Amino acid sequence: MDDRKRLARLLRALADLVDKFPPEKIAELASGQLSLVASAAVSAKVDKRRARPPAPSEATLRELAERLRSLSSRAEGDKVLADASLSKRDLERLARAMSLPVTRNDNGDRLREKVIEASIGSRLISSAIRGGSVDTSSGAQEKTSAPQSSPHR
Amino acid sequence: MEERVHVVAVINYKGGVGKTSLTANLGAQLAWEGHRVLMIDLDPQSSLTFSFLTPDVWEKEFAPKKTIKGWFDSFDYGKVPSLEPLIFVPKRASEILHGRGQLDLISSHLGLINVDLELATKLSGASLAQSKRNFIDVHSRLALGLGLIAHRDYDVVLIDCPPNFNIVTKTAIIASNYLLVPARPDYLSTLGIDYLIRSVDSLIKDYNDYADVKDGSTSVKIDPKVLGVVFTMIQEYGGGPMAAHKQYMAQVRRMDGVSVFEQYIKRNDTLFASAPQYSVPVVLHGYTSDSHRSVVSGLEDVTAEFKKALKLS
Repeated sequence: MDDRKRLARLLRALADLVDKFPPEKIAELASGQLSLVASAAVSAKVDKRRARPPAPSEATLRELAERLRSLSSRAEGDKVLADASLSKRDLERLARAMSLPVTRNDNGDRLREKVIEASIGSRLISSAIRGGSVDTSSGAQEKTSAPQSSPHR
Repeated sequence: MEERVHVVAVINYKGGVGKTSLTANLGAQLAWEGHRVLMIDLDPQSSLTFSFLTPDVWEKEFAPKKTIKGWFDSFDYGKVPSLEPLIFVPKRASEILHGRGQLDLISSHLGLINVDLELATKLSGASLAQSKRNFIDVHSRLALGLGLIAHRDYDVVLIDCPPNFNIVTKTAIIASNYLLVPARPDYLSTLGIDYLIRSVDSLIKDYNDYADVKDGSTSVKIDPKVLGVVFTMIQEYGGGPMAAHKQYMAQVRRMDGVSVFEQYIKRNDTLFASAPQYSVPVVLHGYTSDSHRSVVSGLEDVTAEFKKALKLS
Protein backbone atom coordinates (compact mmCIF):
# COMPACT_ATOMS: atom_id res chain seq x y z
CA MET A 1 0.00 0.00 0.00
CA ASP A 2 1.46 3.34 -0.97
CA ASP A 3 1.46 6.54 1.12
CA ARG A 4 -1.44 8.15 -0.70
CA LYS A 5 -3.67 5.16 0.04
CA ARG A 6 -2.59 5.11 3.67
CA LEU A 7 -3.40 8.82 3.97
CA ALA A 8 -6.78 8.30 2.30
CA ARG A 9 -7.60 5.45 4.72
CA LEU A 10 -6.54 7.59 7.70
CA LEU A 11 -8.71 10.48 6.59
CA ARG A 12 -11.69 8.15 6.04
CA ALA A 13 -11.23 6.71 9.54
CA LEU A 14 -11.06 10.26 10.91
CA ALA A 15 -14.18 11.24 9.00
CA ASP A 16 -16.02 8.18 10.36
CA LEU A 17 -14.97 9.08 13.86
CA VAL A 18 -16.13 12.67 13.50
CA ASP A 19 -19.37 11.51 11.97
CA LYS A 20 -20.14 9.44 15.07
CA PHE A 21 -19.40 12.30 17.44
CA PRO A 22 -22.33 14.21 19.03
CA PRO A 23 -22.52 17.83 17.71
CA GLU A 24 -21.55 19.38 21.07
CA LYS A 25 -18.35 17.25 21.16
CA ILE A 26 -17.39 18.56 17.73
CA ALA A 27 -17.64 22.11 19.10
CA GLU A 28 -15.52 21.16 22.11
CA LEU A 29 -12.91 19.57 19.83
CA ALA A 30 -12.84 22.69 17.67
CA SER A 31 -12.40 24.94 20.72
CA GLY A 32 -9.55 22.79 22.08
CA GLN A 33 -11.50 21.67 25.14
CA LEU A 34 -11.26 18.06 23.88
CA SER A 35 -8.39 16.31 22.13
CA LEU A 36 -8.14 13.07 20.14
CA VAL A 37 -5.83 10.32 21.40
CA ALA A 38 -4.55 7.56 19.09
CA SER A 39 -4.76 3.96 20.31
CA ALA A 40 -3.14 0.77 18.96
CA ALA A 41 -6.18 -1.43 19.75
CA VAL A 42 -7.25 -3.87 16.95
CA SER A 43 -10.81 -4.80 16.17
CA ALA A 44 -12.32 -8.00 17.54
CA LYS A 45 -13.14 -9.10 13.99
CA VAL A 46 -9.52 -8.92 12.88
CA ASP A 47 -8.36 -10.61 16.09
CA LYS A 48 -10.76 -13.52 15.67
CA ARG A 49 -9.71 -14.07 12.10
CA ARG A 50 -6.08 -14.16 13.12
CA ALA A 51 -6.82 -16.66 15.91
CA ARG A 52 -8.53 -19.20 13.61
CA PRO A 53 -6.23 -22.08 12.58
CA PRO A 54 -5.71 -22.59 8.87
CA ALA A 55 -8.20 -24.83 7.08
CA PRO A 56 -6.95 -28.43 6.80
CA SER A 57 -5.78 -29.50 3.36
CA GLU A 58 -7.57 -32.14 1.31
CA ALA A 59 -4.77 -34.57 2.12
CA THR A 60 -5.24 -33.91 5.84
CA LEU A 61 -8.96 -34.57 5.54
CA ARG A 62 -8.31 -37.81 3.66
CA GLU A 63 -5.90 -38.91 6.37
CA LEU A 64 -8.48 -38.05 8.99
CA ALA A 65 -11.11 -40.12 7.17
CA GLU A 66 -8.70 -43.06 6.97
CA ARG A 67 -7.92 -42.75 10.64
CA LEU A 68 -11.61 -42.74 11.52
CA ARG A 69 -12.10 -45.88 9.43
CA SER A 70 -9.46 -47.65 11.49
CA LEU A 71 -11.19 -46.99 14.79
CA SER A 72 -13.39 -49.52 16.52
CA SER A 73 -15.81 -47.38 18.49
CA ARG A 74 -17.93 -44.31 17.94
CA ALA A 75 -16.52 -42.78 21.12
CA GLU A 76 -12.99 -42.94 19.75
CA GLY A 77 -14.24 -41.28 16.59
CA ASP A 78 -15.93 -38.52 18.56
CA LYS A 79 -12.66 -37.84 20.37
CA VAL A 80 -10.62 -37.75 17.17
CA LEU A 81 -13.06 -35.32 15.60
CA ALA A 82 -13.10 -33.17 18.73
CA ASP A 83 -9.29 -33.06 18.78
CA ALA A 84 -9.26 -32.06 15.13
CA SER A 85 -11.29 -28.91 16.01
CA LEU A 86 -12.92 -28.74 12.62
CA SER A 87 -15.16 -25.86 11.69
CA LYS A 88 -18.56 -26.57 10.17
CA ARG A 89 -17.11 -25.80 6.77
CA ASP A 90 -14.26 -28.27 7.33
CA LEU A 91 -16.74 -30.91 8.50
CA GLU A 92 -18.67 -30.38 5.28
CA ARG A 93 -15.45 -30.85 3.28
CA LEU A 94 -14.66 -34.00 5.26
CA ALA A 95 -18.17 -35.38 4.66
CA ARG A 96 -17.94 -34.68 0.94
CA ALA A 97 -14.53 -36.31 0.79
CA MET A 98 -16.21 -39.41 2.21
CA SER A 99 -18.95 -39.30 -0.47
CA LEU A 100 -21.55 -38.28 2.09
CA PRO A 101 -24.42 -36.02 1.13
CA VAL A 102 -24.42 -32.62 2.81
CA THR A 103 -27.50 -30.45 3.07
CA ARG A 104 -27.92 -26.85 4.12
CA ASN A 105 -29.77 -28.01 7.23
CA ASP A 106 -26.82 -30.03 8.50
CA ASN A 107 -25.30 -28.41 11.58
CA GLY A 108 -21.96 -29.37 13.09
CA ASP A 109 -23.41 -32.13 15.27
CA ARG A 110 -25.30 -33.69 12.37
CA LEU A 111 -22.19 -33.59 10.18
CA ARG A 112 -20.09 -35.22 12.90
CA GLU A 113 -22.73 -37.94 13.26
CA LYS A 114 -22.77 -38.58 9.51
CA VAL A 115 -19.00 -38.87 9.41
CA ILE A 116 -18.85 -41.18 12.42
CA GLU A 117 -21.65 -43.42 11.15
CA ALA A 118 -20.11 -43.74 7.69
CA SER A 119 -16.62 -44.48 8.96
CA ILE A 120 -17.25 -46.46 12.15
CA GLY A 121 -20.96 -47.07 12.76
CA SER A 122 -21.53 -48.89 9.48
CA ARG A 123 -18.76 -51.40 10.32
CA LEU A 124 -20.15 -51.98 13.79
CA ILE A 125 -23.62 -52.59 12.34
CA SER A 126 -22.26 -54.94 9.68
CA SER A 127 -20.33 -56.90 12.28
CA ALA A 128 -23.36 -57.11 14.56
CA ILE A 129 -25.55 -58.52 11.82
CA ARG A 130 -23.02 -61.03 10.49
CA GLY A 131 -21.92 -62.14 13.93
CA GLY A 132 -23.90 -63.71 16.74
CA SER A 133 -25.40 -67.17 16.74
CA VAL A 134 -25.71 -68.98 13.45
CA ASP A 135 -29.34 -69.19 12.43
CA THR A 136 -30.62 -69.08 8.87
CA SER A 137 -34.25 -69.55 9.74
CA SER A 138 -36.67 -66.85 8.71
CA GLY A 139 -39.78 -67.92 10.50
CA ALA A 140 -41.59 -70.60 12.43
CA GLN A 141 -41.89 -72.85 9.43
CA GLU A 142 -38.15 -72.70 8.89
CA LYS A 143 -37.40 -73.69 12.44
CA THR A 144 -38.55 -77.16 11.51
CA SER A 145 -36.41 -77.27 8.39
CA ALA A 146 -33.16 -78.49 9.94
CA PRO A 147 -32.54 -81.67 11.85
CA GLN A 148 -33.92 -81.12 15.31
CA SER A 149 -30.95 -82.54 17.14
CA SER A 150 -28.35 -80.86 15.01
CA PRO A 151 -25.49 -79.36 16.97
CA HIS A 152 -25.69 -76.34 14.70
CA ARG A 153 -29.17 -75.34 15.78
CA MET B 1 -25.29 -79.62 -15.06
CA GLU B 2 -21.95 -79.45 -16.81
CA GLU B 3 -19.13 -77.56 -15.16
CA ARG B 4 -19.10 -74.74 -17.66
CA VAL B 5 -22.70 -73.80 -16.98
CA HIS B 6 -22.91 -70.84 -14.67
CA VAL B 7 -25.87 -71.12 -12.33
CA VAL B 8 -26.51 -67.74 -10.74
CA ALA B 9 -29.07 -67.04 -8.01
CA VAL B 10 -30.31 -63.46 -8.09
CA ILE B 11 -31.13 -62.88 -4.47
CA ASN B 12 -31.72 -60.33 -1.75
CA TYR B 13 -33.76 -60.60 1.42
CA LYS B 14 -35.22 -57.23 0.79
CA GLY B 15 -38.18 -56.89 -1.52
CA GLY B 16 -38.48 -54.20 -4.17
CA VAL B 17 -34.78 -53.96 -4.94
CA GLY B 18 -35.08 -54.87 -8.62
CA LYS B 19 -34.32 -58.60 -8.58
CA THR B 20 -36.76 -59.37 -11.35
CA SER B 21 -35.75 -56.42 -13.52
CA LEU B 22 -32.11 -57.42 -13.19
CA THR B 23 -32.85 -61.08 -14.03
CA ALA B 24 -35.04 -60.27 -17.03
CA ASN B 25 -32.73 -57.66 -18.53
CA LEU B 26 -29.51 -59.53 -17.81
CA GLY B 27 -30.98 -62.67 -19.37
CA ALA B 28 -32.26 -60.78 -22.40
CA GLN B 29 -28.99 -58.93 -23.00
CA LEU B 30 -26.96 -62.12 -22.65
CA ALA B 31 -29.21 -63.76 -25.22
CA TRP B 32 -28.90 -60.69 -27.47
CA GLU B 33 -25.15 -61.17 -27.31
CA GLY B 34 -25.53 -64.77 -28.45
CA HIS B 35 -25.56 -66.71 -25.18
CA ARG B 36 -27.89 -69.51 -24.22
CA VAL B 37 -29.83 -68.52 -21.11
CA LEU B 38 -32.40 -70.22 -18.92
CA MET B 39 -34.30 -68.09 -16.41
CA ILE B 40 -36.11 -69.78 -13.53
CA ASP B 41 -38.74 -67.87 -11.60
CA LEU B 42 -38.64 -69.13 -8.03
CA ASP B 43 -40.65 -66.29 -6.53
CA PRO B 44 -44.32 -67.06 -5.74
CA GLN B 45 -45.15 -63.51 -6.76
CA SER B 46 -44.28 -64.70 -10.28
CA SER B 47 -43.07 -61.27 -11.37
CA LEU B 48 -40.47 -62.69 -13.74
CA THR B 49 -43.09 -65.00 -15.24
CA PHE B 50 -45.48 -62.10 -15.77
CA SER B 51 -42.68 -60.06 -17.30
CA PHE B 52 -42.76 -62.47 -20.23
CA LEU B 53 -46.28 -63.92 -20.13
CA THR B 54 -49.65 -62.32 -19.59
CA PRO B 55 -51.43 -63.76 -16.54
CA ASP B 56 -54.36 -65.01 -18.62
CA VAL B 57 -52.10 -67.03 -20.90
CA TRP B 58 -50.18 -68.30 -17.87
CA GLU B 59 -53.42 -69.35 -16.16
CA LYS B 60 -54.62 -71.26 -19.18
CA GLU B 61 -51.44 -72.82 -20.53
CA PHE B 62 -48.95 -73.02 -17.66
CA ALA B 63 -50.57 -72.96 -14.25
CA PRO B 64 -52.06 -76.46 -14.35
CA LYS B 65 -48.87 -78.42 -15.14
CA LYS B 66 -45.99 -76.29 -16.36
CA THR B 67 -44.67 -74.39 -13.35
CA ILE B 68 -41.86 -74.88 -10.87
CA LYS B 69 -44.46 -75.45 -8.16
CA GLY B 70 -45.79 -78.50 -9.98
CA TRP B 71 -42.22 -79.72 -10.34
CA PHE B 72 -41.54 -79.47 -6.60
CA ASP B 73 -44.88 -81.15 -5.90
CA SER B 74 -44.06 -84.08 -8.18
CA PHE B 75 -41.06 -85.04 -6.04
CA ASP B 76 -43.51 -86.97 -3.95
CA TYR B 77 -43.18 -89.82 -6.37
CA GLY B 78 -39.58 -90.46 -5.32
CA LYS B 79 -37.80 -89.90 -8.61
CA VAL B 80 -36.19 -86.61 -9.65
CA PRO B 81 -38.68 -85.22 -12.18
CA SER B 82 -37.43 -83.54 -15.31
CA LEU B 83 -37.51 -79.77 -15.70
CA GLU B 84 -37.63 -80.24 -19.46
CA PRO B 85 -41.43 -80.01 -19.90
CA LEU B 86 -41.48 -76.68 -18.02
CA ILE B 87 -39.05 -74.87 -20.29
CA PHE B 88 -40.61 -72.49 -22.78
CA VAL B 89 -39.50 -69.70 -25.08
CA PRO B 90 -41.15 -66.33 -24.32
CA LYS B 91 -42.70 -65.40 -27.65
CA ARG B 92 -42.40 -61.63 -27.85
CA ALA B 93 -38.86 -61.48 -26.52
CA SER B 94 -37.91 -64.28 -28.91
CA GLU B 95 -39.29 -62.32 -31.86
CA ILE B 96 -37.03 -59.39 -31.01
CA LEU B 97 -34.02 -61.64 -30.45
CA HIS B 98 -34.69 -63.01 -33.92
CA GLY B 99 -32.41 -66.01 -33.66
CA ARG B 100 -29.77 -64.43 -31.44
CA GLY B 101 -28.78 -66.67 -28.55
CA GLN B 102 -31.46 -68.45 -26.54
CA LEU B 103 -33.76 -67.08 -23.85
CA ASP B 104 -35.85 -69.70 -22.06
CA LEU B 105 -37.99 -69.48 -18.96
CA ILE B 106 -39.45 -71.76 -16.32
CA SER B 107 -42.46 -70.08 -14.83
CA SER B 108 -43.47 -69.78 -11.22
CA HIS B 109 -46.83 -70.20 -9.53
CA LEU B 110 -48.64 -68.11 -6.97
CA GLY B 111 -49.04 -71.29 -4.92
CA LEU B 112 -45.29 -71.83 -4.65
CA ILE B 113 -45.45 -70.28 -1.20
CA ASN B 114 -47.13 -73.48 0.04
CA VAL B 115 -44.26 -75.64 -1.23
CA ASP B 116 -42.08 -74.34 1.60
CA LEU B 117 -44.54 -75.68 4.15
CA GLU B 118 -44.69 -79.06 2.45
CA LEU B 119 -40.91 -79.33 2.15
CA ALA B 120 -40.54 -78.49 5.84
CA THR B 121 -42.62 -81.54 6.75
CA LYS B 122 -40.15 -83.78 4.91
CA LEU B 123 -37.16 -82.72 6.95
CA SER B 124 -37.68 -84.47 10.24
CA GLY B 125 -36.30 -87.98 10.66
CA ALA B 126 -36.35 -90.79 13.20
CA SER B 127 -32.66 -90.27 13.94
CA LEU B 128 -30.14 -87.49 13.60
CA ALA B 129 -28.54 -89.26 10.64
CA GLN B 130 -31.93 -89.63 8.95
CA SER B 131 -32.70 -85.96 9.57
CA LYS B 132 -29.42 -84.97 7.98
CA ARG B 133 -30.10 -87.17 4.96
CA ASN B 134 -33.52 -85.58 4.62
CA PHE B 135 -31.95 -82.13 4.87
CA ILE B 136 -29.62 -82.92 1.97
CA ASP B 137 -32.36 -84.61 -0.09
CA VAL B 138 -34.78 -81.71 0.24
CA HIS B 139 -32.27 -78.93 -0.26
CA SER B 140 -30.50 -80.49 -3.26
CA ARG B 141 -33.64 -80.97 -5.35
CA LEU B 142 -33.17 -78.05 -7.72
CA ALA B 143 -29.49 -78.93 -8.19
CA LEU B 144 -30.49 -82.45 -9.20
CA GLY B 145 -33.19 -81.13 -11.52
CA LEU B 146 -30.74 -78.84 -13.30
CA GLY B 147 -28.38 -81.77 -13.69
CA LEU B 148 -31.00 -83.52 -15.78
CA ILE B 149 -31.14 -80.77 -18.41
CA ALA B 150 -27.38 -80.51 -18.91
CA HIS B 151 -27.86 -81.57 -22.53
CA ARG B 152 -29.49 -78.25 -23.27
CA ASP B 153 -26.07 -76.69 -23.04
CA TYR B 154 -27.01 -73.40 -21.42
CA ASP B 155 -24.26 -70.86 -20.79
CA VAL B 156 -26.06 -69.25 -17.88
CA VAL B 157 -28.98 -70.20 -15.66
CA LEU B 158 -30.46 -67.24 -13.78
CA ILE B 159 -32.67 -68.03 -10.79
CA ASP B 160 -34.92 -65.20 -9.64
CA CYS B 161 -35.26 -65.86 -5.90
CA PRO B 162 -38.03 -64.71 -3.56
CA PRO B 163 -37.21 -62.10 -0.91
CA ASN B 164 -36.88 -64.62 1.92
CA PHE B 165 -34.60 -67.41 3.08
CA ASN B 166 -37.08 -70.27 3.12
CA ILE B 167 -36.39 -73.79 1.82
CA VAL B 168 -37.16 -73.09 -1.82
CA THR B 169 -34.71 -70.18 -1.75
CA LYS B 170 -32.12 -72.43 -0.17
CA THR B 171 -32.52 -74.96 -2.97
CA ALA B 172 -31.59 -72.18 -5.38
CA ILE B 173 -28.48 -71.22 -3.42
CA ILE B 174 -27.38 -74.85 -3.21
CA ALA B 175 -27.92 -75.29 -6.95
CA SER B 176 -25.90 -72.16 -7.75
CA ASN B 177 -22.25 -71.45 -8.41
CA TYR B 178 -22.76 -67.76 -7.81
CA LEU B 179 -25.03 -65.29 -6.09
CA LEU B 180 -25.82 -61.94 -7.65
CA VAL B 181 -27.19 -59.42 -5.17
CA PRO B 182 -29.24 -56.51 -6.48
CA ALA B 183 -29.52 -53.73 -3.93
CA ARG B 184 -30.85 -50.23 -3.66
CA PRO B 185 -28.45 -47.71 -2.20
CA ASP B 186 -30.25 -47.09 1.08
CA TYR B 187 -29.70 -47.89 4.73
CA LEU B 188 -32.01 -50.90 5.05
CA SER B 189 -30.68 -52.50 1.88
CA THR B 190 -27.14 -52.36 3.21
CA LEU B 191 -28.31 -54.19 6.33
CA GLY B 192 -29.95 -56.80 4.10
CA ILE B 193 -26.66 -57.54 2.36
CA ASP B 194 -24.93 -58.35 5.65
CA TYR B 195 -27.83 -60.52 6.75
CA LEU B 196 -27.84 -62.37 3.43
CA ILE B 197 -24.11 -63.11 3.66
CA ARG B 198 -24.48 -64.38 7.18
CA SER B 199 -27.39 -66.63 6.20
CA VAL B 200 -25.63 -67.98 3.11
CA ASP B 201 -22.47 -68.75 5.08
CA SER B 202 -24.54 -70.60 7.65
CA LEU B 203 -26.42 -72.59 5.00
CA ILE B 204 -23.20 -73.61 3.25
CA LYS B 205 -21.71 -74.76 6.53
CA ASP B 206 -24.80 -76.77 7.47
CA TYR B 207 -25.14 -78.34 4.05
CA ASN B 208 -21.51 -79.36 3.80
CA ASP B 209 -21.51 -80.74 7.34
CA TYR B 210 -24.61 -82.85 6.61
CA ALA B 211 -23.28 -83.90 3.20
CA ASP B 212 -20.52 -85.75 5.05
CA VAL B 213 -22.96 -88.17 6.62
CA LYS B 214 -25.39 -88.74 3.77
CA ASP B 215 -25.56 -92.48 3.14
CA GLY B 216 -22.34 -92.92 5.06
CA SER B 217 -20.33 -91.26 2.30
CA THR B 218 -19.47 -87.74 1.29
CA SER B 219 -21.95 -86.03 -1.05
CA VAL B 220 -21.08 -83.18 -3.35
CA LYS B 221 -20.21 -80.16 -1.28
CA ILE B 222 -21.20 -76.67 -2.26
CA ASP B 223 -19.32 -73.41 -2.45
CA PRO B 224 -21.44 -70.71 -4.08
CA LYS B 225 -19.64 -67.38 -4.30
CA VAL B 226 -21.06 -63.90 -4.12
CA LEU B 227 -20.39 -62.65 -7.62
CA GLY B 228 -21.17 -59.12 -6.55
CA VAL B 229 -23.67 -56.51 -5.51
CA VAL B 230 -25.37 -54.65 -8.35
CA PHE B 231 -26.87 -51.33 -7.41
CA THR B 232 -30.26 -50.65 -8.90
CA MET B 233 -32.64 -47.73 -9.30
CA ILE B 234 -29.79 -45.22 -9.28
CA GLN B 235 -30.70 -41.61 -9.86
CA GLU B 236 -27.96 -39.69 -11.55
CA TYR B 237 -26.89 -36.10 -11.06
CA GLY B 238 -24.05 -34.54 -12.97
CA GLY B 239 -23.19 -37.75 -14.79
CA GLY B 240 -22.96 -40.03 -11.76
CA PRO B 241 -25.05 -41.35 -8.88
CA MET B 242 -26.57 -38.58 -6.76
CA ALA B 243 -24.84 -37.87 -3.45
CA ALA B 244 -27.46 -39.65 -1.33
CA HIS B 245 -26.79 -42.84 -3.32
CA LYS B 246 -23.01 -42.49 -3.39
CA GLN B 247 -22.95 -42.59 0.39
CA TYR B 248 -24.38 -46.10 0.59
CA MET B 249 -22.57 -47.35 -2.50
CA ALA B 250 -19.29 -46.33 -0.86
CA GLN B 251 -20.37 -48.01 2.36
CA VAL B 252 -21.08 -51.35 0.67
CA ARG B 253 -17.77 -51.17 -1.19
CA ARG B 254 -16.06 -51.04 2.19
CA MET B 255 -17.84 -54.18 3.47
CA ASP B 256 -15.65 -57.19 4.17
CA GLY B 257 -15.82 -59.91 1.54
CA VAL B 258 -18.26 -58.09 -0.74
CA SER B 259 -17.42 -57.11 -4.29
CA VAL B 260 -19.54 -54.44 -5.91
CA PHE B 261 -20.18 -53.96 -9.61
CA GLU B 262 -18.79 -50.69 -10.91
CA GLN B 263 -21.73 -50.47 -13.28
CA TYR B 264 -25.26 -49.95 -12.03
CA ILE B 265 -28.85 -49.91 -13.17
CA LYS B 266 -30.33 -46.48 -13.59
CA ARG B 267 -33.74 -45.50 -12.38
CA ASN B 268 -36.41 -44.80 -14.93
CA ASP B 269 -39.90 -45.42 -13.64
CA THR B 270 -41.51 -44.85 -17.01
CA LEU B 271 -39.50 -47.56 -18.74
CA PHE B 272 -39.31 -50.17 -16.00
CA ALA B 273 -42.91 -49.79 -14.86
CA SER B 274 -44.46 -50.64 -18.19
CA ALA B 275 -41.97 -53.05 -19.77
CA PRO B 276 -43.42 -56.23 -18.17
CA GLN B 277 -46.86 -55.34 -19.46
CA TYR B 278 -45.61 -55.75 -23.00
CA SER B 279 -43.56 -58.88 -22.23
CA VAL B 280 -40.30 -57.37 -23.45
CA PRO B 281 -37.44 -56.36 -21.13
CA VAL B 282 -36.28 -52.74 -21.33
CA VAL B 283 -32.92 -53.73 -22.75
CA LEU B 284 -34.60 -55.16 -25.86
CA HIS B 285 -36.69 -52.05 -26.55
CA GLY B 286 -35.75 -49.76 -29.40
CA TYR B 287 -34.33 -46.38 -28.42
CA THR B 288 -36.83 -43.58 -28.29
CA SER B 289 -34.97 -40.95 -26.31
CA ASP B 290 -31.65 -40.06 -24.71
CA SER B 291 -32.92 -41.17 -21.30
CA HIS B 292 -33.90 -44.54 -22.75
CA ARG B 293 -30.51 -44.84 -24.39
CA SER B 294 -28.83 -44.06 -21.08
CA VAL B 295 -30.80 -46.76 -19.21
CA VAL B 296 -30.12 -49.39 -21.88
CA SER B 297 -26.48 -48.43 -21.94
CA GLY B 298 -26.32 -48.99 -18.17
CA LEU B 299 -27.92 -52.42 -18.55
CA GLU B 300 -25.44 -53.34 -21.27
CA ASP B 301 -22.57 -52.22 -19.06
CA VAL B 302 -23.83 -54.32 -16.14
CA THR B 303 -24.08 -57.31 -18.48
CA ALA B 304 -20.53 -56.74 -19.71
CA GLU B 305 -19.24 -56.65 -16.14
CA PHE B 306 -21.26 -59.77 -15.30
CA LYS B 307 -19.70 -61.61 -18.24
CA LYS B 308 -16.25 -60.45 -17.24
CA ALA B 309 -16.77 -61.68 -13.68
CA LEU B 310 -17.85 -65.09 -15.02
CA LYS B 311 -15.12 -65.09 -17.68
CA LEU B 312 -17.91 -65.62 -20.17
CA SER B 313 -16.69 -64.88 -23.69
